[in-house]
Amino acid sequence: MRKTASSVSNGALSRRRTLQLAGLSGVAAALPAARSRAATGGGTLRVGMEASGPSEPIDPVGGYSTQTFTHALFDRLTWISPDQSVVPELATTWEHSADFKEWTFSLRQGVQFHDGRPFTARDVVRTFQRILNAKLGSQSYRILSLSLDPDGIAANGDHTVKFSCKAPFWNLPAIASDTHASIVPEDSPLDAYIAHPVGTGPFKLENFQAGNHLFTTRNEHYWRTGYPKLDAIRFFNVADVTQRIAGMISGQFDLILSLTPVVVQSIRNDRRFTVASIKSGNCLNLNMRADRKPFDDNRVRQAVKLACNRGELIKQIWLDEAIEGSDQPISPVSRIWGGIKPPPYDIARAKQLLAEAGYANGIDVTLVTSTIAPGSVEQAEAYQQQAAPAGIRVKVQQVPATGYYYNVDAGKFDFWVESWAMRPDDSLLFLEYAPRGAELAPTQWYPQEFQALFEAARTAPDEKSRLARFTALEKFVSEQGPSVSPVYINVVDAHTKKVLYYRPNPMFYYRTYYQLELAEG
Amino acid sequence: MLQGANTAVTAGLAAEPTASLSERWSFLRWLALRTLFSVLVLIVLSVLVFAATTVLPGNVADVILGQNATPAARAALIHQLHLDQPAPVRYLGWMAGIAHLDFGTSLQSGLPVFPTVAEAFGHSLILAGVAAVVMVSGSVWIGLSTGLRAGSTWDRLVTLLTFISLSMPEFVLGSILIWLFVILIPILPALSLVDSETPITGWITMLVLPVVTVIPVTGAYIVRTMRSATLDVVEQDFVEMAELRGLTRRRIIWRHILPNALVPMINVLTLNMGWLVGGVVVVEVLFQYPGIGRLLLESVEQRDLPMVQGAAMLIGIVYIVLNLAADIGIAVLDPRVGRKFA
Repeated sequence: MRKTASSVSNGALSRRRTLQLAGLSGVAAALPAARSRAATGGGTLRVGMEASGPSEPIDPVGGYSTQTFTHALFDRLTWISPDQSVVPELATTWEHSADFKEWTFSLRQGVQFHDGRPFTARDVVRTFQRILNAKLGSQSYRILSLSLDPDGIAANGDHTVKFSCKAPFWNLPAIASDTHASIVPEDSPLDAYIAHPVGTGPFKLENFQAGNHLFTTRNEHYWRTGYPKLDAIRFFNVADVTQRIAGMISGQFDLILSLTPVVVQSIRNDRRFTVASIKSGNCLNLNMRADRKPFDDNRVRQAVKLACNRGELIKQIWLDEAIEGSDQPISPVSRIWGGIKPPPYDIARAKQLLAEAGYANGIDVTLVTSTIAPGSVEQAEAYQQQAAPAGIRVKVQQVPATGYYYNVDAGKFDFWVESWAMRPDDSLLFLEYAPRGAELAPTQWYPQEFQALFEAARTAPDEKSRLARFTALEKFVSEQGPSVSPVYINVVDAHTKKVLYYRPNPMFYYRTYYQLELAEG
Repeated sequence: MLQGANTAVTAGLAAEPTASLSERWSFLRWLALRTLFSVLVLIVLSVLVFAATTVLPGNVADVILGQNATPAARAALIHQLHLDQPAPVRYLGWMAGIAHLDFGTSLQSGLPVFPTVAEAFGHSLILAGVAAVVMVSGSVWIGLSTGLRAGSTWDRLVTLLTFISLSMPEFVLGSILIWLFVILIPILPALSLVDSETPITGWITMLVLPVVTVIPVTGAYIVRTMRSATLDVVEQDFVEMAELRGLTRRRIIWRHILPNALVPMINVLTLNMGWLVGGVVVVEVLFQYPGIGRLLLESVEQRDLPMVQGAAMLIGIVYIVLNLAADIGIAVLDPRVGRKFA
């Protein structure tokens, strides 16, 4: 057994230990140097968040939008801070064998669930077994099931959990931070959702109405001493970003989440509000179907990438709340970013590549988009203008948002807009190119070389070779892949000046709430 | 003359006390036929709702499993959801459930659909009810007052405003009202986020904008109809007679003009209630009001078919029952309606 300082952030052990002792592991990074306004302590925070539908489960194993409040109700073994370090939450330390197959997590003692039951290793075992049941539809199922079987997790006493993986799993501590791995009690059903969840988190569930609201109250027995600061948090689902802004302006919300660069312009200079944004790896891809003409030729795919003026997009569409993308899903924010450079805007070279591929007169393509993610229509229209001089004649077709991804998954489109959110384990995004069940992903691009590079990166024996292998994988996807990833878009939230110690996270649903306070007045 | 006009009004309001046995029998027969007709409509509706949600693209199992769909998991889930049975069998099972108020369970959360649908429906009823009361009383009064003072400045102002409202859809008016009363003069909440703990004052402030937004389009139509109905009645001989008899103006309006002008309005009001409910769906989305319209929209987006079916059926059942009740009510009050079916 080798002790990892931290498998992800070099030499952070001593700092991490210190933070742990102070009981402030997550907050410390979020504390601003000085605050002029005094907090009153207590109070009810009202949050306007994105919509979760009327039947979305509150069970952390299956929700999508409900991930936003899992950090209020639950804890996980680990958490990923805004600077991308993996820090302890319900696990205090972890070790792994030299081949990354055997993992041992030591658990925090003296933690209890909202109903008073003590937290033990058996709860962790049940939590991960639930993720590994495909029927519950957890987004973590695919990456976890690659390396782990349900019987590979075992409790060793009350405060130690052992994971015996079938393949090297270097990133287990990061995957364990996923909201789907929020720790639930050992009696949670293996094959059905929990309707009234009990967690160990800073706030207790008071009232949940799917698609409308979630009301919580303070957990008096929270393990972080002195936290949470607030008495209660009320989350409201508001589908439209402008409605969230209007709600804050009219005094109905203190904090609003998941905004867009364009809508926050209206409050950016308003002294009552603070716009809180952070660089991320969220991308809004233009994906190509690589098994059909004209995108079956990599020279065409390269031309499509070269015809994108990323700097202009950032200025025009993203109002500087984005960084240039390099046509693969790993952004500079990530721990495994290999420094891949964004392709230049090079019309001459794009034309030349098209001619070499046999399209001397250019190509006619239909780019399908929808209001599925903010900016998806605008970015498609801007790309249309940028690509035209290269002979790439884009027809932008806007289709209804309802059922959009169903149609994408059904392979209805040849060239389409697709939104990918940054994940706790970046290699998860490469899985977007992997087959789903028996069928290939909608891009129909899964070459042998990609599979070999992905497998090599995933199972790298040490940190140095891992970064090198991921860099090779990123370079390959950037040069050969079926996606234009024009930009990596920031996470943008906003709050009133009353809200103290708020900090967004590049993974938008990794926001924490226990440290928040409300100022006087 | 006056006598005759009054009889015409009362005839529509009270059954003749001397209905013969055969007339009663024919009324019961009409009632049975009318109820049977409603049940048939209900069955047709249920077939349509079931068929529409069944032919939607996408296998439900794929929707639930998402990207985790392996062939084995898919087959198991299809069997568990009875999707491997023929559609008529599934339809009968679904209908048997509805008879026991069991609308099935949500595909996403696995929880029963009925409580969610019923609560949202209750919210919509409150919004529609308040809007209907305000709209009917307001537009009838405005229509009457403009009809009485045709050609006045008030009349011309109202005419202008009704034409503007008729041509302005709810989402445009709602956006203007939000800009006015939320951003410019911040006195009202932008979103109507009511819940079980909302106090009555909260309900009032949060209902103002949705109600004011949903009323004008349908209300304007009622104002126009009420105005012309009033104009027709005012020119009748019995109004002149009442004036000649020296009755006060107030008495003439309340006892003679209003009741007579309202008779042709009953059908108009009933028809417009349907339009009002349609508008309610729009404002529910616009103001994030937790009603059945928003529920239906979001359930379609999530492909949660039992929820869609449950919401659509509940709306349909209530429409059909209300229509039946209205017809029976009118028939009881005016036996001529019943006799026509005899």
